[in-house]
Amino acid sequence: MMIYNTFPNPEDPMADIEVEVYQFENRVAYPSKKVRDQIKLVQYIKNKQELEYGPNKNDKRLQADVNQFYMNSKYKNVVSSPSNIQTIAAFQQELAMKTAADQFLNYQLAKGDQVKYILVEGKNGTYHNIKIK
Amino acid sequence: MKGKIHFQCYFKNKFFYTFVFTLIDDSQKLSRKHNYFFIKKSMKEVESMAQDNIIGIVTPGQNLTAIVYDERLSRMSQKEIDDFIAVDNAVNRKNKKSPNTLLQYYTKKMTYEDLLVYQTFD
Repeated sequence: MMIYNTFPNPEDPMADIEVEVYQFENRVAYPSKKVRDQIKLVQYIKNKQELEYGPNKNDKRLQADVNQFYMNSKYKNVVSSPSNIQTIAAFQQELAMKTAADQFLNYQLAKGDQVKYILVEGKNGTYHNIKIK
Repeated sequence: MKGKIHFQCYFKNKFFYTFVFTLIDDSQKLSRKHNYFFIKKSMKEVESMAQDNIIGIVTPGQNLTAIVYDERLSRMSQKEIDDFIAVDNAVNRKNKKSPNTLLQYYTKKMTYEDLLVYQTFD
């Protein structure tokens, strides 16, 4: 599983957003052309999160959550965040109906449930929500 | 179940997942006593847990591997530690058991309930 960390420049909003990609298997992946294409998808999820929860500048934990993204290892177009999970079923559905206005269907965990559940990458690019206790 | 658990990270290979947690005891907040522990689950177990969300990773009687502090080893020099392990392994060889590694002295296999007791009294 990879983790995206974005560092937007607050002074110059038009500047390019720097993206760092970390991999869990102790290997660092460097940003490539493909990664730069992900920024649109990342921005889309970010906007959805802000609509759902509102901009929470004081909550450090939420701020960290907003800046953290997971990329599917098989389907590079599927990007999810800890609270907005894009399932592969939703992605395939989106491929089937390209004309739909809301292209990237996703599954959201309730705010209280985010502490109880974790996001785990499964086989064939699927994600699972698993209860901790 | 008692005890606050914080999820740290997980590692995945072809057959298994290894989840890393910390157990935090609220009554010992000032001493900042945390215990790190590992739980191993197979692919099948994780998939069944994803379908049935009632079952969690940490269940009553769950077997886990916790990191423990060995006071004996902390007082020894590196040469003394090597000798200590060599003597233990000589006994293991006699009893036809597999040899111990250094990591095994710093980890302990126990159940979740045992870990709660270990955290409060050790």
